[in-house]
Amino acid sequence: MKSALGYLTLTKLKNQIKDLLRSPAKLVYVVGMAALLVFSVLGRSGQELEEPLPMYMLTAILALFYSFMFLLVLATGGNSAKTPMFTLSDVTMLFPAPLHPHRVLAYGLLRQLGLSLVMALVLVFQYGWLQVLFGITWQDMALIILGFAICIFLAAFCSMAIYVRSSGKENATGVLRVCICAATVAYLLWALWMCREQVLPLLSGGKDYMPAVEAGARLFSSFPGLLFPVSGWTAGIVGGLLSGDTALLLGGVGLCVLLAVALSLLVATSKNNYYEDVLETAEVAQSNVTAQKEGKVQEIVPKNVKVGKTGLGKGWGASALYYKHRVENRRAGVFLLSNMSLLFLAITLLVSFGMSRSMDGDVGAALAATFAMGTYMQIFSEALGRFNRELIKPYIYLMPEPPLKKLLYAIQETLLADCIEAVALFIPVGFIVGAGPVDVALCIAARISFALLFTAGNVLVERVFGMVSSKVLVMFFYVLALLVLSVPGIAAGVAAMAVLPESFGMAGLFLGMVVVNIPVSVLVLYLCRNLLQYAELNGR
Amino acid sequence: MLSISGVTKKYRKTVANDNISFAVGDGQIGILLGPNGAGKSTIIKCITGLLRFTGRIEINGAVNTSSEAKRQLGYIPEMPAVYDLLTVEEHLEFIRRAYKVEDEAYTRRLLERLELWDKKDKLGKELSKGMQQKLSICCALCHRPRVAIFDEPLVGLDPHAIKELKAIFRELKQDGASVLISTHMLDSVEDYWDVANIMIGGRFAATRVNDGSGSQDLEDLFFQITEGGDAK
Repeated sequence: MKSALGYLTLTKLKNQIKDLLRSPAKLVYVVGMAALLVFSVLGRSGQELEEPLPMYMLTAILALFYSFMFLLVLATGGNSAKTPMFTLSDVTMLFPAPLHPHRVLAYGLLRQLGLSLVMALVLVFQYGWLQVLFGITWQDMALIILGFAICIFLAAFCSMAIYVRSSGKENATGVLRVCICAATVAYLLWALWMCREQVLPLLSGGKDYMPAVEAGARLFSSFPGLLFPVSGWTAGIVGGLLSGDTALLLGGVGLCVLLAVALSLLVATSKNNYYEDVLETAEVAQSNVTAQKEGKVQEIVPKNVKVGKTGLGKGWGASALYYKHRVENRRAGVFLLSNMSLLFLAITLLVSFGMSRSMDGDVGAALAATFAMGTYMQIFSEALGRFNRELIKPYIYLMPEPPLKKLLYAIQETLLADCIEAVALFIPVGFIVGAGPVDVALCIAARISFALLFTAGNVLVERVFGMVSSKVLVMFFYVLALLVLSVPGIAAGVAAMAVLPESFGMAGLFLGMVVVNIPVSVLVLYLCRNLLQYAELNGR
Repeated sequence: MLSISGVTKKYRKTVANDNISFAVGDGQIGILLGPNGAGKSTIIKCITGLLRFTGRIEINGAVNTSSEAKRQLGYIPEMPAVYDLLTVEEHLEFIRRAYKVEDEAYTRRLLERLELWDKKDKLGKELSKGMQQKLSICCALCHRPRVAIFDEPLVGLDPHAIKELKAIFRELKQDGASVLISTHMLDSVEDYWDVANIMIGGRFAATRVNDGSGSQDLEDLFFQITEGGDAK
C-alpha cells in the first residue's frame, strides 16, 4: 500500500486531469492558453536581431525580476492566500493525522514547488521578445522558468522557516521584515555606488542612458552583484548555463543547496510546529475558493480597521446606499481614491513623462497616447468600485425602492471617485506634456465620459452575464462589452478630428468621445434599470 | 398574508421548485421541512425576490418584487449576510434609512434581546458566525415586517438566542404577521406551527394543518414521508 501522502498527491493530480477533461470551459481555457503560447512564439520567429544583445544583460534582467518576486513572496509570508502551502483540507486532515510533521512539511513544499512551476509557465509569454532580443531557444526558456520556480520555492521555504523560528515571539517577525527591507535598500544603494560614474552624469542632465544600463547589467550579472540571497543565486545558475560560465553556475547551485539544507535544519530542529502559522492562511484561502466558486467579489479588508466616527449620518431610502459606501471606504482606508487607482495614476503619469520625451514635441500626440494608456487601465480599475461588492449581499435587492434609483445611488460613489481621479490625473499630465487648458479640460471630460461608459458596461455585464459563475468568463465578457461600447465614441472622436480644422488639434477627438459616450452610457443604464429586481444569487 | 401560486424555478435542466402553491395566513406560522436539496431555500429566495421564477407570489396582496411588498418583508438568509466594514449599530441604521423607518427604540430592544447591544460598535468582520446570524435577524426585523421569512434561523445560535428567537416567533404570530420558517430542527418548531409543508425533490410531498390536538408529531410525519417508515 502506498503512503498516505503519496496516495493523496497522485490521486489529486489524477482527479485534476479528469476534471479538466470533463469540464469543457476549463478545457477550452487551457487549449486557448496553449494556442496563445504557440501564437506568441510563431508570431515572432524570424524577427531576431542580427546581433543579439549580450547574455549578461539577460542575466541581469533575470536577477532583478527574480529579486522582485522573491521579495514579494517574502512580503506575503510565502504562504499567500492565493497559493497557500497547505489547503484547509490539508490542515484538517493531515495535521491531526499520525504523520510526522516533517513529512507533512515535505508534502507542502512539494505542492508549493508544483504551484511555482505552474505560475512560472506564464513566463512563456515572454519568449517572443526574449527570442528577438537575445536569440534564446526553447531550452533556454525552460531554464529561465525552472530558475524562477526554484526562486519562488526557496522564497516560500525561507518564509516558512522564518515563521517557524519566530512563532510566539511577537516582535521577531517585524524585526526580520525591517532587516530584509534594510538589506534590500542597502543592496540597491551599494549597486548605485558601484555604478556612480555612469549614473551621476544622468542626474546632471546627461541624456545617454546606455553606459549606466551597461554598468548596471554587468554588476547584476556577476559576483558580487549576484550575491543577493536566492534571487541572485538562481539568476546566477540560469545565467551560468546560458552563457557557459561554470563558476557562476557552480556558485549559484552551491549557495542554493546550502540554503535548502540550512532551512531544512532550521525547520526540523525547531520546537515550534508550523501548524498554527499556516492555519489562518489556509482559512482565508478556503473562503477565497468558496467565493470564487460562487462568482463573488472578495473584498480585501484591512486587518486592523480604524472604526473612527460611527453612523451613516445621512441618506433616506436608496440614498442610504451611497452614505454606507462612504463609511465603508473610510474604514477600508480609501481617501478619495483607492490604492489601485493611485497605482494606475502613478503609472499613467510615468507614461506621460515617457510620451512627452518620445513624441518629439508633439503635445497632442503625447496627450492622446497618455489618454489611451490611462483609459486602458481604467477598464480594470472601474470594476473595483463598491457597486460589484454590493451585489453579493441581499439588502440592495430587498430595499423597498425603485430599482433604477437604487442602481444610480449604488454607482454614485464610483462615479464621484472617477471625476476626482480624472482631475487629479490630467492636470499633472497637462503640465508634463505641455498641453493647453482647453485640451486638458476636454481630456478630463473625455476621461469622465469613459468612466460613465465603463460603469454602464459593468452594469450591463451584471445584467446580462450576472448568472455566469466563472469569474474568468465574466471578466472576458466585461472587457469585450467595454471594447464594443467604446467603439462609437472613438469613431466619433476620430471623425470629429478629421472634420475640424487642424488648429483644433486633439480637441475634436476628446469632444467627439464626450458627445457620444455620455448618451450611450445613459441608454445602457436605462436599459439595465431592472438589474436590481432579482439577484439570482444562486447563480452568482 | 403570504400567497404562493404555481411557482416553478429551473436552473437550466434542473427543476428546483415544481409548481409550488401554498399560503401562510395572517398570524400563522408556516414550516418548510424536507431533506437537503429538496428546494426549501430556493422557494424562500423566490419569495424574497432574489430569484426569477414563473408563477405568482404575493405579500399582503402585492406582487413580491414591488416596493410595497418589499417594505412588508423581512428575510433572514441561511448564511448571515453582514458588511465587513460597518459596525453592528450602523447595519441597523442603514436598514432603518433604507426602509425609511424612524423607530430607533425598537432596534435597540432587538439588539438587547439578542445580546448584541454591548457589541454595537463592533465591525461586521469582527463578529463570530453566531453573532453575525443574530445581526442578520435584527436587520430583518427592525422595520417590523408583516411577513417574515426565516431560512434555517437557529443554526449557530446560542441557547439564549434560540430562546429569544422562539419568543420572537410567537410575538410575530400574536401581532398578526405571517411567518415562514425553513428548518431541519423539528423539535424547535414543534409547539407553535400552524401549517407544515414537507418538500421532496422540489415538490410538496405533504401539507399538514395543526389542529391543536397535539396528536401530530412533526418528526414522525417527516420520517414517514421522507423514508416511508411507520409513524410511532
